[in-house]
Amino acid sequence: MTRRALIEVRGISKHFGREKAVNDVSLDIYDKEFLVLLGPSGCGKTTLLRLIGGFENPTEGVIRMDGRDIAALPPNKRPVNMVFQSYAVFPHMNVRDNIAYGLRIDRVAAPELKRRVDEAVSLVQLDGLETRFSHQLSGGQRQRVALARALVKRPRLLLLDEPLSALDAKLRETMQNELVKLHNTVGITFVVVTHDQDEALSMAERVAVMESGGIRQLDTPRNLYEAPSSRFVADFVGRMNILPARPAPGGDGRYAVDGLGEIAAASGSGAAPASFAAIRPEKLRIAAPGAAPSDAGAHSAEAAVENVSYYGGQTVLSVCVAVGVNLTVATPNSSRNAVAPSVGERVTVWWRGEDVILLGE
Amino acid sequence: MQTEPWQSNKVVFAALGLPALLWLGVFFVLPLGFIFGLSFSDKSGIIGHDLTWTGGNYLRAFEPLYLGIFGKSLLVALAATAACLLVGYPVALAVAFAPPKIKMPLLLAITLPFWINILIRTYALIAVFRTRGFLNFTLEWFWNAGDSLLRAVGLGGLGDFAPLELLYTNTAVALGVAYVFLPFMILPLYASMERFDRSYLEASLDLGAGHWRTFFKVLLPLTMPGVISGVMIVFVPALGAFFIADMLGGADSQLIGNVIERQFLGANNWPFGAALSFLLMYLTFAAIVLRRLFAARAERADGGGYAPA
Amino acid sequence: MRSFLAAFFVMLYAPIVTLVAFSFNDSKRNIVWRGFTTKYYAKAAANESLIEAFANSLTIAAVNMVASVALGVAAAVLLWRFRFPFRHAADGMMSLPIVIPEICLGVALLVFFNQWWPRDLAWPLSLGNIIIAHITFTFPFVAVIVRGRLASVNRELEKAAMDLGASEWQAMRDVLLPQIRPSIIAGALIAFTLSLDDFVITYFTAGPNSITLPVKINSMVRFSVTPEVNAASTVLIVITVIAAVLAMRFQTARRA
Repeated sequence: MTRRALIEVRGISKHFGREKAVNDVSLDIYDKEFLVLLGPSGCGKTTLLRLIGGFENPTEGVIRMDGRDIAALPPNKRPVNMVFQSYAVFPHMNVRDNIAYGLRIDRVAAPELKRRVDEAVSLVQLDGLETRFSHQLSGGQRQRVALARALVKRPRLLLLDEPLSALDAKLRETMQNELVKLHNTVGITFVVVTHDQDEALSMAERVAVMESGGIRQLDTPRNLYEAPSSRFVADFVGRMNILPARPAPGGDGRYAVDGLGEIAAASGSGAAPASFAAIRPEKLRIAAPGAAPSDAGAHSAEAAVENVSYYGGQTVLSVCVAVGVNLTVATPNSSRNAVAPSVGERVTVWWRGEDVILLGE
Repeated sequence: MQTEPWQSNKVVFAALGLPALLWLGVFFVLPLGFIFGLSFSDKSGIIGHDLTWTGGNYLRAFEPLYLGIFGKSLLVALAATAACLLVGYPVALAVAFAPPKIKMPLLLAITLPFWINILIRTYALIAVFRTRGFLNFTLEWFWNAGDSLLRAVGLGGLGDFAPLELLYTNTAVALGVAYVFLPFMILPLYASMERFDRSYLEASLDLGAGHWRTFFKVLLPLTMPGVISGVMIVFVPALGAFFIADMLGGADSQLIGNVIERQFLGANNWPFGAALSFLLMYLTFAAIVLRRLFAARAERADGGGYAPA
Repeated sequence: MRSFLAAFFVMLYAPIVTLVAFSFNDSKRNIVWRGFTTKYYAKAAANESLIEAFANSLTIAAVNMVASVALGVAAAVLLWRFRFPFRHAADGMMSLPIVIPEICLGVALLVFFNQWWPRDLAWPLSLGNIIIAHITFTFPFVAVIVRGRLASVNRELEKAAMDLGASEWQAMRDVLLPQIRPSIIAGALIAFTLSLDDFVITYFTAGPNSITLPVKINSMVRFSVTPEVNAASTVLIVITVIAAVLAMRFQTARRA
């Protein structure tokens, strides 16, 4: 299925002096999609967002919206609105005036203005708080004001810069769900910047992972997690055991991996020639020493338990499979009576061949 | 979020910046440039000047006649600065260590006179210093009290009170300068004490140092930046305060400011006056540089632990 | 410590309090209290040249206030918002009029106006050179005060307003200015006070037909010390103290 692109970013760069904050990025943002820009701090994700919003002028490249070049349009002329990281709720206006501000600038007639503001207030569930000021609101409520203020303008595209970073952990989870619900309700394209991978995976339709000014992988959350295309993405998204891999002497696409033995290149994983083999901690299983793997095609290795961390829902073990080679294993505590091995115990680690991913440099 | 580069919005940048830039350029830099040139000019005729890049005007300031005046002027300013420091330091200390509730009112009370016209404050001192002024009245009262006391115990009297001739002396000028510039001394001192961590004093006393030792070895060194600031802020303007010398001083009470004023409004030797005012300005810049150096040194010395709030 | 502070404040205020008190004293000799009178105020009010100087002072202070606020606020916002080459130099130059000795600026402007300023202008243009001189040293004060407030303003607010459709000008008017309004009022009051109070720079720039109140008081003191001078001084003290106290109120006002 090919979707219609609302925004086409083509070869865009933004340099601050000698620093290349965004370097030759091309990207399509589909109409009505929920896209997340994910990356460590300083990777250029916020700059890319600000380029799309019109707050930075690109050093190079074009940004088209519905096929029209908008790179020269200032932010107040773009049908794009933004929720700022600090929310930027005007402290000298109450909730209602904050939300109405954009419509007043557009000289929307009073009856329509009232109707639309009311609509926006109830959309973000701020009913009853209309006359409050910023300092009388909680962080979550301020975010709702910022959302309503942007959505009331009915933009084609809503940009959100680290929208949840100012909230505490519990509230963050609730707001993740609400943002997704809101996105479904209003049918507007959302582009969210975050450094939090859980946030990205749980909310996005597609995630663009960025590093040092470029997009490393743009994919669905599932593909990003299960089929990372580079060592950086594999390492950055979720936890991952990454081990150096060398082509096996026999050739035919097999690799020798320290501690795991020889593995075959599974279909749909990584580039050839590979330099690393990777496997997620929860895809490793622990069994008593010498126990046979329970399904065909499984591989195993003998190991010694070096560390055990109990997290409630799961227990995370660090096991040593060869001198200097440690694997992290996550085992779900699926029963109240689940017993974890103790430090120093010998165990067998086993895994399915298809769960090993081969990665390039 | 960072400041934005000026190129991001040249129109706004120019609209905000140009008026102030033009104003300072035309009405500040240009006039200063003018008298800078004048300070290297020769007088020609009654009102004319030729820019000859002569150093004569500066050299003239070092002639014995002027050196004498400047020497006295420096002495008066120094005495005033010392008086400010002696009174200001304990006052700043008392305010800094006062209960938080009365701190603000105290500070307000100290800064309020600062807003009253400097000329009027000087003028107000005439009633204090003159022969039949408050200072002499107060002294006379003590004198008479002592006199009666001595008579009562049969030791004879002190004789009649002879009022001090204070007004129109250099002492009056120095005291006047000190009085007028006192807030300038107290505020930087207070600022350096305000962020002073009291536990240093407790540590010193706890380690067995006496009060005086604690003062000289702990409090004074750590508040030195404030002392330096205060001294600079009082000393240089004191040299220029010509109207204080005019109002309270006598025939030989002259500050550098008086000499400058006379060159421009009396003697009509503008090049010499320009050179003098530039000497005063260099002194200001030297004071600023010195203050920066001390501040930098204090910061380095802080190194670990002592973090100014 | 407490008695020391008390003695200090007595010393600090006694001269001013006596000056004010004796403006109401029914005695020419100024030393012994002879009863309450306001006749010296009446006498001062009847002194035409004194009233003229007072009117000049108020006119200068008012014009200076408006211009200083415009220049000072613009400069403060500029230094807060943008980074540009020689920013530090610009910052330093802005503070120079505050730090150089008043007498130096005074004589520099004397020479400058003597060269360039037309003489014999009609009032209020005759006050033009004094107004210019005052703006030069007061607008940096306004900038300093406004910058103090700007330091705590969220830079994203203006961006948010523009994102919602506001132009640069609208964003500044609707969002930035309301944020810094207290500091602008404080700056305006301080510019007013500094101008009304200034003696040194005015002394060098004033012509025979453009005398201000402090300059007039100075010449009256030279001539003779009379309760009339005390009365005029008291009026000036009351105005400047009220303006200064208000300014400090606004400067420390908490944001709404």
